[in-house]
Amino acid sequence: MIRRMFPCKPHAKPAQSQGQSRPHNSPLKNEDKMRPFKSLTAALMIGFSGLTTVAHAEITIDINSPVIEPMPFAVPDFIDEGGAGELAANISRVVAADLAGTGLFIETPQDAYISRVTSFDAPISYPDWQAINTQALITGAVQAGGDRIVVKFRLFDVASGQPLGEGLQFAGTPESWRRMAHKVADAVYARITGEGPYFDSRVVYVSESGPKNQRQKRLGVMDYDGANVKYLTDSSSIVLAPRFSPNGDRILFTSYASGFPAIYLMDVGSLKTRNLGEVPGTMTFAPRFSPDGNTVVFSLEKGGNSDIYSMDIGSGAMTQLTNAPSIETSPSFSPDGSQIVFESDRSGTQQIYMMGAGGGEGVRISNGKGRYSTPVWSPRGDMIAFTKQNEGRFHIGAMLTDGTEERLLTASFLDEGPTWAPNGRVIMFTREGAGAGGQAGLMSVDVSGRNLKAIPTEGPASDPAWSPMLP
Amino acid sequence: MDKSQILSGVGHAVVITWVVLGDWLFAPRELPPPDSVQVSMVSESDLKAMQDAAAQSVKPPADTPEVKPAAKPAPKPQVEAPAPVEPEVAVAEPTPVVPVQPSPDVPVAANPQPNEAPPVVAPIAEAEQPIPVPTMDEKPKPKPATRITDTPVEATVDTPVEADAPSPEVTDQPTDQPPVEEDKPAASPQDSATMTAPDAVATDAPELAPTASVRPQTRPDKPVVETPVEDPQVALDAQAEADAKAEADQQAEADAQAAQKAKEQSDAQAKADAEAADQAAIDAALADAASDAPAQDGGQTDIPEGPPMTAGEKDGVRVSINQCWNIGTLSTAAQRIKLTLRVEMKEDGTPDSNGITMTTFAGGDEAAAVQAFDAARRAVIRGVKGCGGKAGYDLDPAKYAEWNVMNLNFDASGMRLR
Repeated sequence: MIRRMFPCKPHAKPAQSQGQSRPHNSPLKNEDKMRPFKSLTAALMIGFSGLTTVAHAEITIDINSPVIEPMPFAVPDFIDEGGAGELAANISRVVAADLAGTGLFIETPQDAYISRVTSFDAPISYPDWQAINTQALITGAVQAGGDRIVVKFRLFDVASGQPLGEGLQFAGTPESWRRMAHKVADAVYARITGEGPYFDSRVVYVSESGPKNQRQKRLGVMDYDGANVKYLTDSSSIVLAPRFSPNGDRILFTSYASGFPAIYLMDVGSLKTRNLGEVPGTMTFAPRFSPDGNTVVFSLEKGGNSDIYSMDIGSGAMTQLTNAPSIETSPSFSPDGSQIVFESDRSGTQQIYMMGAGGGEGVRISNGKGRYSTPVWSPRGDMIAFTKQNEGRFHIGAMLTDGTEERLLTASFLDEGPTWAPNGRVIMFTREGAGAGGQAGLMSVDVSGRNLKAIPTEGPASDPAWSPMLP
Repeated sequence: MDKSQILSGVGHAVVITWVVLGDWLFAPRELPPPDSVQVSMVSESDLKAMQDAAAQSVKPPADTPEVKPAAKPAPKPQVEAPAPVEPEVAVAEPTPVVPVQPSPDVPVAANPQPNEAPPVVAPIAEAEQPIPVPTMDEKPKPKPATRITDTPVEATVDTPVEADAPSPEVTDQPTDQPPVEEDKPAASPQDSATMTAPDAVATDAPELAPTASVRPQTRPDKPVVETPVEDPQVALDAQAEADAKAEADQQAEADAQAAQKAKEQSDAQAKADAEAADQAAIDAALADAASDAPAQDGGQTDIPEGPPMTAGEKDGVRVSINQCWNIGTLSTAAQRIKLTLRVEMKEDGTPDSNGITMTTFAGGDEAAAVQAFDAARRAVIRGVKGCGGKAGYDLDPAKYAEWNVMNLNFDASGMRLR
């Protein structure tokens, strides 16, 4: 596919270049001892002549000042090819919302359309779309029959007047129409941006209710955009810090069901929950899966000292990874499972450290002012998101894995608990307002710091954790 | 007495004698009074009378040689004054050339205007004839008379009579030739003045050139598909073809008339004539098409070569593409890609969308390069019309040989991520 995109056209240098050398009327013509120099001079002249010819034939211009702005796109309502009804239009609206929600695209209003797409296979009138400054066009059609719907679509590059990639189609149940719309948007997003998809994913979070001093919390799960909310637990006990497994079939979380914080593992399909390695006299919290999903790293407090441990989920065997008198917590595996990043106050304030998966003292990577906490390794492995508290303000930030190029993406009264989207481009976190009336909510921001927006939830929410891409 | 005293006494005596008598003996003689010349002013009427008398006294030469009109304006009448003016001229200029010339040797005074009119017309005509009828002259001639004679309208214009009354180069070089007799009544001063009136020039101007020069165009028009006239012979051939075609048309019309006439006599004969006429027309059309084909081919294959693109023109392309190069939708990996695009341009100044290829890329993998290439290609295509309400780039068609292929290096590494 790539080779088809890059047809190799040989760079044919002008054939006449070698024949354009000027007559060599050197005064040293009769001096035999200078013959080597004459040959060299002639060769240089021939070469120079060729170079000048090439330079004259093809000019070179450096383009180095790009702009960053949303790309206009159009999504006409998908064609109903039988039985789809309003579903066709609804799917197209979700696709448009997904793309526009990234902040990287801006939808061209439908009332500005010049052309109407009446058939999925109808030829595209590119000038009509160019005239309204649309750069990407998405056409689609929906077929519905019985308990099955089929969604197909095509993506066009309006500027160049040709399709971008090949069309795709998805099949599913009518109830999963939003997921199918997300998949269409994912395909478009990935094709244009080069980033991995993330629309067809879910988020588990803590849904809060009640007054701030008697807050009731339960686990909820929703689409990444806040739709399709389902609650996984009731409000009988406080739950904290849910985390999806690498394949999304299980959820780790901390619960006070026993009166003390302890780690629980929930099967998403059956909602069955079990205590994971309860150790009497200790508190376990801040769990997170290893990349293979077979190991859990967490913090264990014993005797007033917290260290990081790992546990094999199958056997329940535990391994202590840190051993320091300070508080070590919030461990997070690197995507390859070879390293763990965590926070520690061994230096006197909370800072971020990195150690091998087998444990160790770790190396501090955060070097700025303030306190760093809740580090989370990016799914792409290139960055680490964190919470920073400095001068009375909380920030969500990201840095390279060596601690360099730190950038603060947000600033507010209380921002904390970042989680990465599956593609490592977007970060979701908790923002809580000041005062007794301040409510916690979910926010998301692009890793570039743009497109900060709130995630709609039914009520106060906190501790989001992004799932991997759904199967 | 001492001998020395005698010598001293003699010397003193000589000196005293020279002092006493020297002033009288060696006094210079008084210079003779200079020759005085009485100058009399000549009125215009007297001068005119003298000129008339001089013109009547001039005898026509046996064979009037064709002399090119002098480029310089005619001398003023005072310079060519008759005898009374001679001493004045001799005193003013020591050269004895002018004083010895009698008044009949100054015939220009009888017809001074012809020397004035051509210089006015000729330079304008020369400047306004960038695409003249092909001529075999290797270089333009500065003198207007030559241009007038080269144009085919010389016989129909009245003013060329001025060239038939050449004036000797009296002002610069004396001549021994007898004065040219004015063989036409129009040679009188009054007629000459009438002939060289501005109306005459205006009448002549459209035939030679506009009276006012047009500001040169800064940008040529869009490239013409037709073959440019490179050789005068081509134009001559084209003219010959046009003439032949006109003759063929006339012949066909005549044939048609003949056929119509024959139809009255015999339908069969008319049909045959009509078929012959049609066949002749078809043959003529085919011949014309065949004769035009090589020229068109040549015109399409020839790439206009002009001066190299200026830095400003390149900057225009750069700015236009920059403002259309949107990397906001690219992944961070794609934003780091440095790539070079080879863009084949059409003659109308737009890029060939199928001729945009990526020759090299660096700073990432091929997957990221795909998105970077797409964004760069969109920038190139949209850059022609401009983005964000800003104007696009406009390439000079005369320099198509320069920009028919462009290599564009895209590099966003210098941009800070805000």
